Amino acid sequence: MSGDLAVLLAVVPLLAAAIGLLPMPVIIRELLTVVSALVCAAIAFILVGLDTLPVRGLRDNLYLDGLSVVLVVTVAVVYLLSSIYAVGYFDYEREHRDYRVYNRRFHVLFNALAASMFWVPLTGNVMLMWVAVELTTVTSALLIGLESSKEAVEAAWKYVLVASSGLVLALLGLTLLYFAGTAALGDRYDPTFPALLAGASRMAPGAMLGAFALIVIGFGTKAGLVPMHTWLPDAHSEGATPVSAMLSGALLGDAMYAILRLEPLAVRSAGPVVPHVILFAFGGASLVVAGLFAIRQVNLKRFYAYSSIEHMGIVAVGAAFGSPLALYGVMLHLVAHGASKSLAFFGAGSVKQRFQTRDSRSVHGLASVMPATAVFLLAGLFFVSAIPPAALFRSEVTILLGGFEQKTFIAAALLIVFANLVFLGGLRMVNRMIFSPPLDGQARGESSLVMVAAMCLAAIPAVVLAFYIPAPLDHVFAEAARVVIGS
Amino acid sequence: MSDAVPTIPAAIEGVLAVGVLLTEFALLRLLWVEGIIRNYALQSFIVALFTAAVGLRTSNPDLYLLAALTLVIKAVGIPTVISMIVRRLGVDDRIPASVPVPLSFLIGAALAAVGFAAATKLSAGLHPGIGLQIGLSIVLIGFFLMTARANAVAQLIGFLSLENGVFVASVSLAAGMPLIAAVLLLLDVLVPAAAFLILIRVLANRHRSLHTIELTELRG
Repeated sequence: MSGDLAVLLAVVPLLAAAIGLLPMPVIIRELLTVVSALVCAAIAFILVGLDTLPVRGLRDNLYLDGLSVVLVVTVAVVYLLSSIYAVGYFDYEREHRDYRVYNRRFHVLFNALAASMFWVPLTGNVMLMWVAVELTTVTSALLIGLESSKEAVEAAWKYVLVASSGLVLALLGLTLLYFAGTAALGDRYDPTFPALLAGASRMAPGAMLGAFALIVIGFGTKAGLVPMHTWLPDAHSEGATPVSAMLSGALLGDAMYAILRLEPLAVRSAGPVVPHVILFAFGGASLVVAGLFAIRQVNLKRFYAYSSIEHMGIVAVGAAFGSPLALYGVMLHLVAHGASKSLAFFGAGSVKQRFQTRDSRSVHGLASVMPATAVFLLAGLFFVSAIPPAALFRSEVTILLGGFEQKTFIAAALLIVFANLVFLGGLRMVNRMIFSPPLDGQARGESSLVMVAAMCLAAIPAVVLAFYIPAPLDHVFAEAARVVIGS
Repeated sequence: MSDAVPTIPAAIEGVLAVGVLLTEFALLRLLWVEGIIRNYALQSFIVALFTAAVGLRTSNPDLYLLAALTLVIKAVGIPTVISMIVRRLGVDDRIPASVPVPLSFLIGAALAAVGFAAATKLSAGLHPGIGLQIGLSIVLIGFFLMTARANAVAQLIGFLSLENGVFVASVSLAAGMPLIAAVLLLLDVLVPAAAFLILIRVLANRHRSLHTIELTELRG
């Protein structure tokens, strides 16, 4: 029963994509996406409440444990928020002659992207998981390529080539993993997580570490870990804003999920030291490089793209700490980052639609021009930068405490310094946008009430999770941390 | 395959795998668009033969099917479509080499050596055959090719050849895995299809030249 429910998560958006192909008024298609997202959110809600994890079915090709549920929740939240936001966002384009065609392509691809993003955490088969991640690349690259600007198309080109090259490396890692497993599990077996985990202690450590390194490089390319991040700032900033939110808020999490999912195999076969060093190296590099680049940006969406690299670095470092506390923080971080980054992008997108520019230096006087948006823009920056009372503050502190527990002080210090550096860069930019005097003749008023409503909705989990984590969710986070530790 | 004298099917596989690696080197040498497309078709043809040879050794009928489809899609379909796009748009046939050919060869040889050494170390005591070594070498050279040629078609071919490398490695490492044929087939079809759609949009934006070196607006 709960297995069927989980499968619906991938089926419902796919159905919405298929129906969206039919001719219909643009607004109906937009609402169809919202309905699909609502259904998925409801299913995610039910799955959180399950006390019978893991859910297994289809010979473990369907496999849902605590870690999967964390990602399902993240994707569901971001999907719902972005689908609502999209209704307001495209207000500006509706009168445009080409919008009807664009609308159909956009929603079909958007729902297909959501379906493949749900598929990633639902399957227990590593190869099917890889296929799902590759599908997210294809659908999201096409979504970015839909934009008419030259920059967007070039960003899509770079994205599809770089991310797919990375994923091909991940595939090589997975086949090496399969090959290492043949010693323990026989020549022909289904590479599912439970099977691999059971055999991991009997697999050759050398091959396993090689496979894990390829997996981290491969899925890390998709997660934007430095130095494989070069495509990310372009892809995440050039797409339509609902797409940016999906990519930064949820899709990066999916890629990190793949790494977190496979890490216990490497730990069980070769001990924790080398896998943790690998994760720490990429995570630490991401923290430093993203921090340094973020402070130089003048395009707000690009700034938030760098901030996403920073946050995936934090997740990787948290995983490298490897304690239950740190991993609990990682899980909270993934969900909170989804909501907070959606809010941040929504704010940036609303301003961009209104002023028709990506350059923050041409935006003035938001405090009087669009006051509600200005509030959420500032809130988005604070929440993403983990300034209290943000949920991300709680998750970062939890991760840090986990790090102190493990006596990894240097890593913890790195995290504190660079996470705050990003905030300063953003504050400089947003401060100027909001509090500078407005230009003469600038019309006042919010861009769209729907966009404001979506921002308001996104702000709720981005704050509430700092004070209150519902008991079932708390249980899921703890369960997920146990999965990654491998006990 | 740990025996000093390889069996005949293993030897055939080895020869074909080396053939794939040689065509990868040829890609480094060619500086005209039609040339690298044809060379890629040849490489894919050898990959298809290699897949069939592994199918023969492991008596896995899935791999025959995969070999046939690889032949149709990669050795004929993809090269034909790319040539068509290129010809239809009257794209400049020359590929600018940001790394000159002789130096490219030296770097390619060094990367192949690294690939061989790394693969040997990775598979210590596991005897995966030559597939992993060749595959990893091709992957490294493919990456290099993508960075050393500032031309959209050359980059696409570099990526597709890199994919061929992983294809060879996967077929020889995981021939027994259920779904392997399906996964690799997806790789054959899906990514090139998406890349084509975007490539056409890149060109529709009136980029008469396919030189990605012009992509300077998105930096840092």
